[in-house]
Amino acid sequence: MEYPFWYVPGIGSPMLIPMVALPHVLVSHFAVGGGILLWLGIRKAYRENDPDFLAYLRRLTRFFVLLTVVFGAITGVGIWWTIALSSPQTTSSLIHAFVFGWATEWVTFVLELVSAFGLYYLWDRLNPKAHQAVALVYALSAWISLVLITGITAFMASSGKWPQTHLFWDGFLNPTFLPSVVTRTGGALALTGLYLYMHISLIKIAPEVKEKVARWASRWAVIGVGLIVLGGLWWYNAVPGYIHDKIAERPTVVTLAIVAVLATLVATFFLAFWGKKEWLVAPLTVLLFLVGSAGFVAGEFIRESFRKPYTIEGYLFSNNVYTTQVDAVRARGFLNTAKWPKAYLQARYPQLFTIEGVLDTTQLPSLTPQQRADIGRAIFEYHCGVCHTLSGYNAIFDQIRGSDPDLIQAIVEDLEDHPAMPPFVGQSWENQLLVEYLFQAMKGGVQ
Amino acid sequence: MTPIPAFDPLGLPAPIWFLLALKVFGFWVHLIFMGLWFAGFVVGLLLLPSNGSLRLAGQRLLKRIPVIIAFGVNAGIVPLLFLQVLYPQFFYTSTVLQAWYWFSVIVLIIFAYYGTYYYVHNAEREERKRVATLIGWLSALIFLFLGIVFASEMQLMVTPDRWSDFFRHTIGGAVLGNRLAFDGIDLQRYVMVFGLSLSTVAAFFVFDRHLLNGSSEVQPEELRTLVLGLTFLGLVIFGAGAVPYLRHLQPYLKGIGLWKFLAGVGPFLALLGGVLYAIQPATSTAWLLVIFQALSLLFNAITRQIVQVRELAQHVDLSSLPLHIQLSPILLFLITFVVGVIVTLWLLRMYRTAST
Ligand code: HEC
Repeated sequence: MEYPFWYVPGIGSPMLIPMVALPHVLVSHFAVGGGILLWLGIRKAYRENDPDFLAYLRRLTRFFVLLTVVFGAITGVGIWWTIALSSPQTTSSLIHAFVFGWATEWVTFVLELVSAFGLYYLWDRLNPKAHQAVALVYALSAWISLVLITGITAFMASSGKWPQTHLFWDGFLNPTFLPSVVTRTGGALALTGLYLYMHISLIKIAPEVKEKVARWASRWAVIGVGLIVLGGLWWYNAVPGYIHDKIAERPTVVTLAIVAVLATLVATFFLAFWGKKEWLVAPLTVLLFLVGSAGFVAGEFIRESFRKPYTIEGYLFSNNVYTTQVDAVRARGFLNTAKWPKAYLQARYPQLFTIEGVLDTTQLPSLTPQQRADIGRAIFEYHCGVCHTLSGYNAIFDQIRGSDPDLIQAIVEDLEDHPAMPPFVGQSWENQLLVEYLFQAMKGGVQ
Repeated sequence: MTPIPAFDPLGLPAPIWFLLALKVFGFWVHLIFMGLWFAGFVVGLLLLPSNGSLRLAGQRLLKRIPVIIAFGVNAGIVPLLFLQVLYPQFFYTSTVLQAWYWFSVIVLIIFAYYGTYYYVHNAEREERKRVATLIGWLSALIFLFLGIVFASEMQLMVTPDRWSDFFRHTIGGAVLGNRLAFDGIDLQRYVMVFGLSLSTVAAFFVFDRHLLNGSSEVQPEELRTLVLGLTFLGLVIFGAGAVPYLRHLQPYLKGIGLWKFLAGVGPFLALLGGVLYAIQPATSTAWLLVIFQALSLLFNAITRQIVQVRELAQHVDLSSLPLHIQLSPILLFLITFVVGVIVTLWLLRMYRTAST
């Protein structure tokens, strides 16, 4: 209601978020899982006095630091950048509710950097004790940063008591927080296993070392899969009712995700117990990695789509309407409340507005069809644009094709009957202009 | 005129002074690192054709840029966090109005950052030297460009009366975000930061040579002219931006006395450090320059904050915003911060032992 909306052709600005967030998720979970494994590995190498294994870990560290410190860190900031651009109101809410959670996470980022660079630049020079200590600092700070950000992402889908209390801990320790931490920690370990298979199959490495790394990483990956299953079931029990209903409604997506996870699990088991590791060759490990990543991506997508129509459950709808605001906006009308589309119309059609700046509906009949469409478009962009494009991603044309305008108006009137959509907060004339515009645009009648 | 969004109904999560202090602190740390890739990258590359100490000093800086970027970007998170707490209605709106440019920051940083690593790893390999140098320059230029985006954003943010120019480019009122706000005032801001950064580079050279136990092959005698030159140029370039900018700011700076000159004191201090070092290049004068430059950046961070609050005061009175303070998350942060500082120092001591 307060902020301008960024129009991105074809996909809509919100779809830029996954473009940044999905690569980030794949790298940041490796940053956590890899951090834990590096620490465990360094301990193991010293304990078993195995210089070859240690030498391997050093090579892994180079790859690891280059990937996580650069790509992981920048895409992490990038998510924040993109959510703020496509959904400022949500970002503002999150920032005002959790800024000190983020500030705390920032401290863990500093520790991650200091320890990662220590491992990267001083690998040969650190004595065994110091070496393990640095690795432990990295592993711990990376994992804590996962815990902190999970509190906030889990909050968005299950806000618990927070909408009533607005208390930090009520939001942070929300019902799905702990299960999400378990799932993500497991995901991090499992994904790291897949990264390691890929790594050892892509570099030149002695067969014994390869064997050892694969066997070792597999053990942790299996534990990771166990945690995913455990956390997943726990999560399923903890999610709010509106998500439960959706899971029941969309069995195909859910099965798909479970199958992807299972595939990873099965593959991981194979690797854990198979004797020879010769078959761990590049094309196959890359494929395995892609399968695992697809499972991961599917998981994130499902989580996000379950959250609709909210960006913050029970508090804020995706289209920037607060849940408590619905009746008031309806009473005043959408265009009289949403600041930017209103300013847009005020500049173009001053005759529609009273001296007090209120939209005067009695003036509507004087508008040309083109002007009516223009108003319809503004309503579409600001009320629906956060989830629909006209003909691209989640195309509205696909939803209305074959229906007649009256039916669509009826659907819009009770928009919240659809489990993924927020209530329509416009008045009936706004509904009419919106639907009129959509049908005209579909016929190619307006640009 | 375009509207200004309402402040977030959740209110401020901490006292204003605390939020401002953290914002200034974070920006100060960010400035320290940022100058070293913003101006330092170019300076380092320009020093390569010279020989002896200057080339070596430049190389040593270039080699550290990846780490410097990591910490500098990281420090940048802090002021951006608190900026969004204090001024969400201005910050978000102005980024959306030039959305593609703001978004491009992320993509460009990734390119420039990997470019920097590529440069560092390959600059000394005969067969890849040319490509590496090219990529190094490209990365340095990208960082220079990113400065333009940031200057534009920080200025558009405090001038909502300019928003309507950008709001004209829409589809049904949804913003296209394909215009950048860069203008004369932004250029002045940009130039000021570049000038400050040159002095930071000078401070880095003496820091590296005298205080980090850097290469003894870098001769202080040869470093003198460079340090003096950089601090002098830093002052001149800063002044070139600051003088017209101060004129533009006049209306907002009434009644704050000498504070408005605080930022300008900085580069003079740095020059003083540069002169002292040039007279007697030694550890003591190196310390002085480093401290003077750190102070200069701190003064600038403080004055910029004063100016920002003042410019926006006509649109929002910070003290009238709702407060919703909760102590425990603040404590969580402060305790973690202290633990973080202790662990960092512990690690650094370990690194020191390891590297000697
Ligand atoms: C929170 C996101 C969101 C918002 C906001 C939203 N929609 Fe939807 N809408 C969806 C999703 C998701 C679907 C289901 C798409 C599918 O099934 O492929 C959908 C489906 C529809 C359908 C088909 C419904 C049916 O029962 O067949 C129509 C019509 C529609 N939307 C119109 C609108 C209009 C008009 C607006 C703006 C007033 C709007 N939507 C706002 C997410 C949203």
